Amino acid sequence: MTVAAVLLLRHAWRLQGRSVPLLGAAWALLVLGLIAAGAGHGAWGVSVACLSLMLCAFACLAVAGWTAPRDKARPPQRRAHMLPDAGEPSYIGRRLLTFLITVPFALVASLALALAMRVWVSASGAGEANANVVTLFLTPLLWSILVVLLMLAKRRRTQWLMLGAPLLVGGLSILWGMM
Amino acid sequence: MSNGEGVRAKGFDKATVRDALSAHAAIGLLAGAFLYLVCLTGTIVVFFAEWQRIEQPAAPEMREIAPQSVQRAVETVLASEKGKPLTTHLYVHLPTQDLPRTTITTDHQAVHVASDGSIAMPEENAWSDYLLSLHYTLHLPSTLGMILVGLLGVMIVALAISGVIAHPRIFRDAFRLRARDRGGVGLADWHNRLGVWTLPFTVMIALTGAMIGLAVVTGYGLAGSFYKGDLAAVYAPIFGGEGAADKASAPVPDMAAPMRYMQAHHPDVHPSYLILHDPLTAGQHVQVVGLHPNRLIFGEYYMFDAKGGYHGTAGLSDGALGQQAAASAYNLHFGNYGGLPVKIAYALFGLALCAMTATGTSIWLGKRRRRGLDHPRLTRAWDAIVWGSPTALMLTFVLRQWIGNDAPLVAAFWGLLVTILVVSLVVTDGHRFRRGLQMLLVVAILAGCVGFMLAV
Repeated sequence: MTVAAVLLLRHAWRLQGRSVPLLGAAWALLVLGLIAAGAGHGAWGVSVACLSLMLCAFACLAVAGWTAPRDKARPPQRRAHMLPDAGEPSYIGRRLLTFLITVPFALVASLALALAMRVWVSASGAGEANANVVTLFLTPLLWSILVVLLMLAKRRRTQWLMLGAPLLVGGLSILWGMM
Repeated sequence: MSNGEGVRAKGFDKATVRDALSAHAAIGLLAGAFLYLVCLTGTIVVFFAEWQRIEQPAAPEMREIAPQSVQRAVETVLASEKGKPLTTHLYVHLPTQDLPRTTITTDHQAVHVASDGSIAMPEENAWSDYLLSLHYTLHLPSTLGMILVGLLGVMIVALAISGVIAHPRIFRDAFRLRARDRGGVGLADWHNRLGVWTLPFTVMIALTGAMIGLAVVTGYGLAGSFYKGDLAAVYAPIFGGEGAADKASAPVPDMAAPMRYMQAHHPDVHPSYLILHDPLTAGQHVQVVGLHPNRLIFGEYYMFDAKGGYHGTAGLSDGALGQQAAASAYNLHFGNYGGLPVKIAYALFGLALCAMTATGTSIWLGKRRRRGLDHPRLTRAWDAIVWGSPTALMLTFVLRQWIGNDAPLVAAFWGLLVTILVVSLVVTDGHRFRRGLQMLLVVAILAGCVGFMLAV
């Protein structure tokens, strides 16, 4: 079912205009396929269904790559603003602080928020194993999201607020959990 | 990247899309070389069991082993360690579909066992272990290395999120691949298409990898906040706790009885490991790791005392959802839950991840070159990483076949990689340098194949 969904998506995306019914049907088929796989074989079934749909998409991509004509499209020119152009200042200090904010400081903030979640999950009666595993999974997930949010923030003050809020929430929750 | 210029994303304004691209590039460039190395080794290590078989083809193989043979082998191994400090654990790897061998590992040795229970030969899989260690820790001290690799997992998830935000048409163009287009478009299309279709795989691999790598940090956070610093207490509700230690001496436990119990009461469960805790002490006990078909969990722990009395399970197969999720993280990450087809799929998607990492930096370098900011040394250094890493890995494999299990693999790998990087800074013809590395890689692969055929 998930393989059929990928093929239908391919067809729908190749149309000139956007066909909402076709796209809707494709996405619905994909979701239904995953639900059916989950109902039949649990998490194992969902994983195998996901692998099947990705393999099908790879096969479609291989065909697209094989049949692609030699083209001379204009290459992308969007700037990533990673390194300074000639004559521009390097802002080494600013970049170093951004690194510190997004890597070690963001890890501490994410850990604090994940530990806070552990307090809340535990308080809701979910059990010790569930609470600990939620924390183990949440730390890297929250860190990833925080890294992106911090790098999208336009002002340094916003970044400090983004770090401070989870630290405050986490710290207070841990204190509450210890009492 | 190639198609999103000037297009306003639904839900994201132009400035956010631009900032997301900057974030995407910054993360990719900061972690690029290490990300590539972890992705590359992860792709190869999917076949960990198969590499072990290739590395030591003469080791005895069997579909199953009798319980009394296991008992005999354990007694022989423990007897051979008289006079040495007692091993804290003894592991018996039982024959499985992908690794049909019986191997006993203690703190002092690892040996293959023949089907009659006699000790056949020492286990010699230094290359497989070195490869796994490179993937797990980049050969750094274990805690530091795992945290660093965990951080790389976090960066991959961040790259996936920022990549989707930075490329507004990424889903609509999911099947558009201008593979033959030169001048950056083809490269960008490969990067974006592979990225969008491996998104579930990428996020799942990265998140499970980051969870495993950062478990030390999170574990200490949990221990410090809720368990008075006791790290073992954090994991006890998930994987089951260790029994109370009693160091008084005791005879060799009955290792055959748990195997017979499993055959009689759980015929559908395939035991993959016997773990003997605190051998030859009064506190010794046995765990059987049982593989459950069509499940993601790495197995269930079945607990037995030294006389073979059954004491229940840890609950990884049917306990709390968190226990099942934690036990599933390992197989989900390493792809060993569906035999060879799933492993091949993982290797294919792993290669795609390597290609994305490699093309990401190349796209950025290409854009700068087209703006008149050429970086020939940086380009050659990146080629050295992309083509030099697999070449160095394959050359160490040849070295392992040539010198044997004691070959200095870690030193050789890093020595080769640093040498290739230094050469990349000295040479002037980038094109010839890249072709030379590609040729060397092909030669190393062929030499590895010839070495294997000669060893069989």
